[in-house]
Amino acid sequence: MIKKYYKHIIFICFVILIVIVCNLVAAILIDNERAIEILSIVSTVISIVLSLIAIFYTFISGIEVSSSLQKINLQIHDAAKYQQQLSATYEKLVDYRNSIVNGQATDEDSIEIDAEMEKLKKSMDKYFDMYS
Amino acid sequence: MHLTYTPMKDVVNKDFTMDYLQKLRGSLLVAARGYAENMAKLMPHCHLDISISESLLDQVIVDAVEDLKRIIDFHPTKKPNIIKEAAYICYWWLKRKPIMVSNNIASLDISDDNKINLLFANEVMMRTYIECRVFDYTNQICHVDTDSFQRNWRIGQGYILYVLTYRVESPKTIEAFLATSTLHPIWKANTDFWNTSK
Repeated sequence: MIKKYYKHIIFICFVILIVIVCNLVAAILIDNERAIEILSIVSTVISIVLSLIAIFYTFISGIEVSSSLQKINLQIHDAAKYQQQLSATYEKLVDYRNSIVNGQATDEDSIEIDAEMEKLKKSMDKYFDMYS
Repeated sequence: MHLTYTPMKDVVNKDFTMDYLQKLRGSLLVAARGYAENMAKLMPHCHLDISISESLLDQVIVDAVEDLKRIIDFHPTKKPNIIKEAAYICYWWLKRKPIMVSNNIASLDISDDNKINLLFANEVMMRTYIECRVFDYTNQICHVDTDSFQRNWRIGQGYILYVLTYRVESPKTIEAFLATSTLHPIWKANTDFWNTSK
């Protein structure tokens, strides 16, 4: 309840406090001792209420922030775990693809390097030497 | 218009036999492996993850051969020459991009030139492949070997890479610059293009 309407409560208390302070100033000016006494007590009470609300709100916010941080930490942990799983899968995939490039997973006959391919490879190596 | 899956064996005919397709596939795998090896040589301190998708490689061959078949069907050409074949392979390779570099390239401690070599892996590999299909880079026949000549040629290779990366709209673009580069070859050409073409 306080958490939901704390802004409104603070605003109302603040307005009342200003009105009382104005009355207190007026009472001081007309030198009414009884009024000064009552208004001083009321303004002190309202100030205490405002302070309590502020303390309560800070406390609640602290709890909320810490619970959000906890949630974020959990999410980070989950993300790291997921990333780890992904990396493992990915490594397997890369290994598989690399093995294809290296000719390991491919039938040797299907990429049998003939003289023409050997010539192409030598030419490419030379090209890379010159222009890479 | 809709997509259809065509396995490699289905594009075989009397002009493009299974032996031809396997040789083409083999030469592309050799070229891809050559690229990976040369990158590893250039960046020995990096653990490079360079891979190739075999399915996309097959698709490159299927697409290129389908196009080459159309040339035979609708033009007087009996057999596409090396330049045409290289151009079509290159075009479809750049569309499919079967080579993948899995490293985080930005974080590697290598030169900007080497980062380009990895970032545009398919283009760099294809530039080398088409150049080496057309020329034999182990056999230099023009011996003009001045510094400025070498510099010009290096810049020229940079332009070719730029074209392959950003400007290729059809195989004809590649075919045109490959054909003109054989006018006065520095390296021995693998095809006698100007005497055999009509």
